[in-house]
Amino acid sequence: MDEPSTEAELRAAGLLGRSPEEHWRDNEIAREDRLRQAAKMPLGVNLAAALELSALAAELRDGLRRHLASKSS
Amino acid sequence: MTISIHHRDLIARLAAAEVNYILVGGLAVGAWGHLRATEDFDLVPDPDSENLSRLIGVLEELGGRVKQGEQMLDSGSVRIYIRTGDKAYVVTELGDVDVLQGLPQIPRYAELETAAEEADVEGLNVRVCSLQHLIEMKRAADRPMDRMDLEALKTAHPKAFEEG
Repeated sequence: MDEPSTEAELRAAGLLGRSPEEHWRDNEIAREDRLRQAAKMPLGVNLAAALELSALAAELRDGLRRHLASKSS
Repeated sequence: MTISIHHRDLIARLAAAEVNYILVGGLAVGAWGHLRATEDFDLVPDPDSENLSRLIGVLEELGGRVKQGEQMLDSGSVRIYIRTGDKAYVVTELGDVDVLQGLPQIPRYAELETAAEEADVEGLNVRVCSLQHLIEMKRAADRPMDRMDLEALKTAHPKAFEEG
């Protein structure tokens, strides 16, 4: 069976116009699925991703600090 | 002040200097599947005297200085803290390194080493603490972040929690 693709089909399948609670539950399901998938990956692959994420988070933080400092000066 | 994190480069520097250590903490949590940003590189060093010298050498080359609370100590403090087997939070130009020694909730290096797993990060070998040791350390620390990590690890590895 084809995946619903039109607005009417998405509404009929309950995939459009979902409540905040349903969105939250969808996110939780996606988060748990990611964790289960990551558990199957080699440690080195996960570790490389963790290193990259931490470096990116630090860059974003520093960029935000610079932006806020330039606004206040 | 800009505080960059280049822990991948740090791994390369530690490998080049042949420093033996076991990775624990947030990056080990990431390796075991729960991806979250972390600011420090937590390691348990092999307490062998020559190994500690190599570790001190790398940290000093990277301008390492021990941070105690808000206080940044003199550069010579790195050697003193690591040599005396105390915990040392070292701020370096490649990011912060938490050298974990002498803490009751952290197993000794010899125990961690027996169960550690090898991780290949783009050709660099990193020894990561076992999942069971990670769970034990997280349970012992029991801070809000540790409880969140445990919940995520339980979702990723439910069997490890059944056996525990």
